[in-house]
Amino acid sequence: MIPIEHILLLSALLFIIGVLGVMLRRNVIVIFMSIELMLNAVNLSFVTFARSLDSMTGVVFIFFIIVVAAAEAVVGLSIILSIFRTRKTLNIDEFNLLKW
Amino acid sequence: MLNAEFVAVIQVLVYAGAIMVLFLFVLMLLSSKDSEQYVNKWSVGKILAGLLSLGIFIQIAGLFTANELQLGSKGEYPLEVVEEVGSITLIGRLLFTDYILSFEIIAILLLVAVIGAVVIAKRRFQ
Repeated sequence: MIPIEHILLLSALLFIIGVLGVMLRRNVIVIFMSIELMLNAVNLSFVTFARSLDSMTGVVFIFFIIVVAAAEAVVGLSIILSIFRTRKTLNIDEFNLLKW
Repeated sequence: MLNAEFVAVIQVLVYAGAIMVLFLFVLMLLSSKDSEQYVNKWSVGKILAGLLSLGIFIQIAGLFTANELQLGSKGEYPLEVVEEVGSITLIGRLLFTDYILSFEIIAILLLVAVIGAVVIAKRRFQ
């Protein structure tokens, strides 16, 4: 039996890796993968809390989070694709169309 | 063990089967030749990012290892019930009774996302 603190710390560590990836990397696809990593870290802590509190609600919520993550990946990647057609780059600093 | 075999299978199916294939397709379509342009040269920002994420990690870890965490009231699905009935049965029962409205909304959301992705990716620019 793994103590739940270890699983929760692993989930916090995964979340921080995702945060660092979003803040340090400039490639928009890597940033996108880091966002997925953060969502999965939240999933891990959800399933841990659901088990330790004898509840099933957390597991149902994971289902919803995975669906939202999949929808976000689909829409986000198609946005990246259509921006790449005009800008010819994947560097997020070049994506400044909304800046005035 | 967390007795969440349904979540494990769904995770592998969705991430290895759908999202990773999607990423690979996009990486195939986009050509990123030089990796030099993606290096962040602003080192003050790097240090700030490191400090900020260290702070967030300390906060989350402190919250997760606090003693008050264990005091939540127990739910109605202890380990024996989950092992006897099975977690897939319990999730399905909850999903189609208590969370039926959320389930329908998430289905609509997925449909909208697929249609939106097709519309965005289809458009041609000169």
